[in-house]
Amino acid sequence: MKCEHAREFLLLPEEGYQALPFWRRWSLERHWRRCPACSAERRTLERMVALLRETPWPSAPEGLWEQVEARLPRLQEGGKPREAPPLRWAWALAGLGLLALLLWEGTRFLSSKSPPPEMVQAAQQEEREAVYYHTWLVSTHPLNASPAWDMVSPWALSVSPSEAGP
Amino acid sequence: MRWGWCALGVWLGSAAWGSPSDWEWLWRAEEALHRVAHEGVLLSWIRGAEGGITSEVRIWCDGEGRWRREHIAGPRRGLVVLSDGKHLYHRPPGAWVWLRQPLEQESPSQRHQRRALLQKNYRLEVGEPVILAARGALPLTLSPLHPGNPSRRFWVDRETFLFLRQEYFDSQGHLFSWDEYRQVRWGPVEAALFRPPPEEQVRGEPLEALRSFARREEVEKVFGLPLILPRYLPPGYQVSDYWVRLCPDGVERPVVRFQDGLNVLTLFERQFPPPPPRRGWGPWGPRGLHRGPPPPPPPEPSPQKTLFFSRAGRHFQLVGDLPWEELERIARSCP
Repeated sequence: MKCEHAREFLLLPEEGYQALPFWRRWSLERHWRRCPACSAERRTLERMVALLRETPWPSAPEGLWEQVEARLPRLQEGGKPREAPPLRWAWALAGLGLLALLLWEGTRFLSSKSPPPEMVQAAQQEEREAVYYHTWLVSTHPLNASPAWDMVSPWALSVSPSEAGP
Repeated sequence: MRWGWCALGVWLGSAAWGSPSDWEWLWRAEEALHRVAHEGVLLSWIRGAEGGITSEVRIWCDGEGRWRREHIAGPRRGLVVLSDGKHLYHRPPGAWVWLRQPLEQESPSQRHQRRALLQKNYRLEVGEPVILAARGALPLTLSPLHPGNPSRRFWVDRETFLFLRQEYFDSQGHLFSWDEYRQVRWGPVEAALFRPPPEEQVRGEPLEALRSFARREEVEKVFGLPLILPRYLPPGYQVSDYWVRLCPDGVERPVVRFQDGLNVLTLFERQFPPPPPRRGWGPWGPRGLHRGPPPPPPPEPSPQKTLFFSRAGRHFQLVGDLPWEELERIARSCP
């Protein structure tokens, strides 16, 4: 199962989840157990839901409904309430969707724009080390025992200035 | 008449038994590499700008697994590489410090497995004898049965089996490097040349933090998560070893080596996400494969390529000499 697919089920309410077929629940559970990214997201969502549940609902002041009702224009007898044209709802939904998309891209852009310099340095160091390890693994092959590997191996660059001699 | 047939049978049998087969030439040459006492001067060439880079290297070998080489001319002039059979010591040009690395010891079963893979995936052709460094040499050509893999040519000394010349062709079929003996003197070499440097001049390398494991389950136990391995490997390749390496955050992450008997691919799990790729548009953008730049440290070009990718919130770096398309196919096959 792919992460995108498994994440679609993360927001499913408990009753909806229990209504899923057994094999579907089993495969989702297995994916969440094995995938650290999805399981982290699942834990975050669970914490968020738990927090929302713990938050007390604000209670409405006494007589609020009566006040609202008194302000509403009275409907004529036998008349129908005016309905908003459905097209307006569609436009509103599309606008919301666009806003969400812009927010998503904006967050992604800002978060990837400028990582701290020490992180960039550490990432580059990790990358160099991987190439270094690979070169070593290749050069230890009996059919690669050639001085040519001294040229592509970064030995000389791993020496600090204090070790470089006079 | 019967005795005649018997004598002919014995003669044919002894001829077949006594002369090494094509592959035995290569096996003997592999073993002779550090088992023939000699000293010599090698010319080494590597592909690069303006006709490539040439170095002159002096080499000594005691015939018991210890050897030393010194770059006497070329861009790494002054570099000394020494092996005492257990470790490799590198003294960079002009430095007083020696960098120590573990020397990977191949077990008999690993050697058997590697040779079987090599025979399965490569074709060996033996050419007509030639004269090299005033010695009779036999040319061996090792070419891949599956296109898109590197190949080699060797000239093996007919008496000692030492490689007198080697040529390395990359996965595109282009010559990447060669080295050739210009002078050889056979016989014992002064033992002091192979003495390891004093401990106060030695610094351990990060390679010493690389730990090898025989089985996948052992790596998963150390790492705490199941390994993510590609479902696709190019024809002839298989997993050969598992390792873990210490990452900057102090976590040991898996390293898996694949090989086809000659070429090596290494898959590293990384702490950090890949370097910023070309920007995609929303969650429907490209799948995040990113061809890395040529490795920055060595100034000389290397045929090794680096591919970055992420899967299931984990980050990877695949390194090896294969066409980009093959590396990307391997990366895409990771679940």
